[in-house]
Amino acid sequence: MRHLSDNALARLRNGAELPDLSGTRYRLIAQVARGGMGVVYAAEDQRLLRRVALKVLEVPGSQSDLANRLMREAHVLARLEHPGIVPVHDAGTLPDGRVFYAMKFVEGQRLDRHIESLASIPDRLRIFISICDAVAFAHARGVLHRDLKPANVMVSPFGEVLVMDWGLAKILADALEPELIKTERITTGLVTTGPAKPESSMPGAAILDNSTNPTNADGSTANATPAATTSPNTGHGSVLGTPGYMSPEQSRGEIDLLDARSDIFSLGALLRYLLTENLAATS
Amino acid sequence: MIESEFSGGRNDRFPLTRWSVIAGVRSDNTADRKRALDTLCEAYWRPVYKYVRLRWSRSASDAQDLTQGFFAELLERELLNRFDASKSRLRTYLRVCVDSFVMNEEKAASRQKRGGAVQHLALDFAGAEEEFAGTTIDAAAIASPESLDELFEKEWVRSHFTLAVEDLRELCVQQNRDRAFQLFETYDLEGDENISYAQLAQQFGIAVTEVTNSLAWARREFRRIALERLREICASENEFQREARAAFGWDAR
Repeated sequence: MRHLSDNALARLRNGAELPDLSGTRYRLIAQVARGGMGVVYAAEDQRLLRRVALKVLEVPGSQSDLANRLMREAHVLARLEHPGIVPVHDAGTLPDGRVFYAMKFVEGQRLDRHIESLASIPDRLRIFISICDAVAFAHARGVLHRDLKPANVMVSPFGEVLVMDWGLAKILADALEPELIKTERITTGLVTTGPAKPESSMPGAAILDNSTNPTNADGSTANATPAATTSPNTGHGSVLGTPGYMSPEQSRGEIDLLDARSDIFSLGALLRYLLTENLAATS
Repeated sequence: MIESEFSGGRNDRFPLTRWSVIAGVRSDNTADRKRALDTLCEAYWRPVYKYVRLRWSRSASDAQDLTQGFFAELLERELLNRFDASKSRLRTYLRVCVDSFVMNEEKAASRQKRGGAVQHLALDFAGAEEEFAGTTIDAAAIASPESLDELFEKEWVRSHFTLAVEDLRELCVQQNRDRAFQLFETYDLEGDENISYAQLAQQFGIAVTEVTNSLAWARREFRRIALERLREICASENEFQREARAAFGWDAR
């Protein structure tokens, strides 16, 4: 039996990393980012001849907690069709058993980097309004983002503003449509009977577990946002969000009490950031 | 547009019910218990042997005897019945059991050669000793529990991947893909950093695209085989997820 050197182990690990896209409509281009929820790849949709981003879990298995979380993120994105929210195109399981979803490939910069080129207050406020529009839409659809921050906003070269990374999003149960309630039951394992209950009485049902976001190795951006500071638990007392941007109730771990006002608090922190960050250097 | 199925779709090769070594050792069925122990032993005997050599500074023959004895004790005392996947990883539990076993053997101050009702396991200790001798590990640097864990983990990964490579070799023979394995062996196992796909293509008298496709196929199969083997020795889906990330280094990236 062949002895494997340490270098061989490293090469085997590297070689085994790429997802198996055989038989799918996608052709792998390159890895873009990596995070706790998996890896983001740039790929070509060979049917529609366009570039997409694939978010792929590293470990196969469609029944794991991570797989359920990833698909939940895809479901959230699928119900939020808005110019300011990255659209999801597809979701499923690759031939190697890894769960994935495909979304729009976003080229641009994270807001925390793009801000260096934003000299005028009006330009910054225009971006802020776009973010608010996207968040308001999500709220109207019963979805909270729960991790709004500059690093989760992308600005494209053509001025598109996209709110990214809905991995910590929360769907309010009373906003769920019947089909989605059934899906929620399947993916969370929660058995519900009768009409959907208010979210506060179903603490575990509609709350996503924490998720770290893909990080870029080289600082350039495409569908890449950094990890949130989160707790692995979803129960009351767990802290989800990013310091400096999370609401007081979020920082206290009062997950059951979170509603749209938590996101609005985060929007306030974003506004302060836009009005103060890097302004002296660029003005 | 949601196109592909999510849960249990046609592309999901992993069945919902699968055999696990933990379930096997606890089974009332003798054949299941034997298969389980054989699987466990195959996966862990090398890391146990090297660990005993290094951590306990035992000679090759003593380590051989202790390794044999440990797996015999694992069976006799049904140590895996006490394993709780929610509290620790299997390999951490086994390492602690090894430590306990060796300490008990020291206290007993005499070790009887295992025999009688317990058959010696047919293990390639000579090969393991050759691997051990070829490594450059500074025993003095292995002091903390964390470094012991790292050592055991590294050897566990090495053993695991070695078995997966052998399975891949057999698969390639069965499927008449010997060339694919040769390419995989040359590029990924031997790792000549100076060789390019173009050079490999020339060496084998094939097109570069065939090199690319063959390597991609071999790597995918290696991954599939390694993960399937891993599933067998994990007690739960969550443990499998954790161990897969550890084995492939995804946690560290």
